[in-house]
Amino acid sequence: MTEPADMDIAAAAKRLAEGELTAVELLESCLDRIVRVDPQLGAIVTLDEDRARADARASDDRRLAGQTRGRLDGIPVGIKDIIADATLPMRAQSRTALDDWDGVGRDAASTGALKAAGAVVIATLATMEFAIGMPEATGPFAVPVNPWNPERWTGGSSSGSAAAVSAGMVLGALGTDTGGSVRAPAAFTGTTALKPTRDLVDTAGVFPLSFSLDHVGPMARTAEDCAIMLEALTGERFDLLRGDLRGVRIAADSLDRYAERSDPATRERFSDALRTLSDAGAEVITVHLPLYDELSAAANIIQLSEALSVHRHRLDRSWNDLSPSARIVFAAADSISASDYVQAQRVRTMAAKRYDGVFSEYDLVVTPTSHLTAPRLSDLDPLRPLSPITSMHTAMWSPLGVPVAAVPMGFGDDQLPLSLAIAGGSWRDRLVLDAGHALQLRTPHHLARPTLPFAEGITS
Amino acid sequence: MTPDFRALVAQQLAVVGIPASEEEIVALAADYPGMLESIAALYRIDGVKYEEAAITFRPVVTLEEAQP
Repeated sequence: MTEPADMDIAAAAKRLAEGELTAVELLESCLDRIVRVDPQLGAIVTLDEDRARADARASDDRRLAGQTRGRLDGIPVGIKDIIADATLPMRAQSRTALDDWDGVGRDAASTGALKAAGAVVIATLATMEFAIGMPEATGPFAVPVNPWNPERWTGGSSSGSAAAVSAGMVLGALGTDTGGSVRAPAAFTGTTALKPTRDLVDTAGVFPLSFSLDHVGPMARTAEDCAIMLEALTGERFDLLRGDLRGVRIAADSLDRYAERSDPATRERFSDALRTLSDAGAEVITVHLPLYDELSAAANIIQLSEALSVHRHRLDRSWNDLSPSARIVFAAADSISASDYVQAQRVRTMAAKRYDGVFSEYDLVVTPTSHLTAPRLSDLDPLRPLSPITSMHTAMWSPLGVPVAAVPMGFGDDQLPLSLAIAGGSWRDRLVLDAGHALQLRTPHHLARPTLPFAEGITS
Repeated sequence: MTPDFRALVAQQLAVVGIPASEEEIVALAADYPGMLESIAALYRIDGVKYEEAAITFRPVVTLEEAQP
């Protein structure tokens, strides 16, 4: 029988509503999973079992009193360790002190929104230092490994969020996405995530990486679950997914020409996904997207420049405490001039107008999220922190601020997950998720669970 | 003349007081030509409107903040 921890949010919410499951039972299932798998997975930074149990009991009490707050009420979730919580310590996975940041000690807007919807926030989840660079193998924080294969990385920087959802430690998680940080780890772990439209989800209380590119996004097992979380995060209605794409025009670009390397199965899985979207009623048209290299470069320059501006004032005293890859990122940023940053922003504006045209002609654009499955941890080089983005197609969307989902589309030849990117025009987040939902109504990819070979008794 | 990227990187870091190690400087220097090329490409794009604001400043002032 499926353990409660293996359910998606929608299924768990249904069982909670029907009285077949309590929030306490659901939480205990997740806590049991954490005890069994996290020593190997390394997804959790700080876990507060006592607070979680109290919040789960409160959720059950609300339900008994007929005062439930919706489908997220009683659902165990986690938050990335750069998103503040009123009582869970937030370290941005850094040895350096965050004393001069005023976000510590109170809920981020997104954390508060999930709590207000009744979600049980049980833990902070691992990332890389300040959500940049590479995991630090010899540092004081655990490096999350991929539940599908512990020799592989989860991707980053919402690494722990993806690992925790994939392994059933939580049913949903908050991540942040500046150049692909919810989409890449979702792609590598067979989970689903959304980088929402810029400014749709409040980033207040998130330790900044790049103020003009940072997004907060939901990570879960399905597009429907992301919609449930997005509803709580925004107060808007996102729960009306139909899975019917009749009348929707989708531009499809394989981006094969930009893949330095590719899993042999990527092309076939992408074609399968296009057929499925077509079966759901969409009109799918093959296109060549413009400005891929330029947008990717602009994203990189803007991100590095804005990140350096956050940390520049304390680098002289914190340098030796920084992780090797954070040092490389900041040092690389130092070589970018002010005019380069301004030019990157000009290109961004020009590209945004160009893509306004793309999204006036097509409702959605789909591409592979990456041409490769999860990289080997042994291949990561902290002195080359940008190397994992090779053949990863997330950065181009970031400067545009449009909503982009990462949705499982099957497996590579190495039996690791592959992912479809679904992008829409600004504020069309629901349509993006609806396309993901349509895919998931017709395919089993999101239902696959890692076997967690290092955790006895779990064969999900 | 081929630029000495190692020396260039070392000098830039020294100017702002970043105490990078020799290993880090070498790694940065190796990636430096690629970064310069990607930056240079941004100046070659057609369609960029130089007369328009590249960045707009939108001050958000609450009523509370506006009070003397």
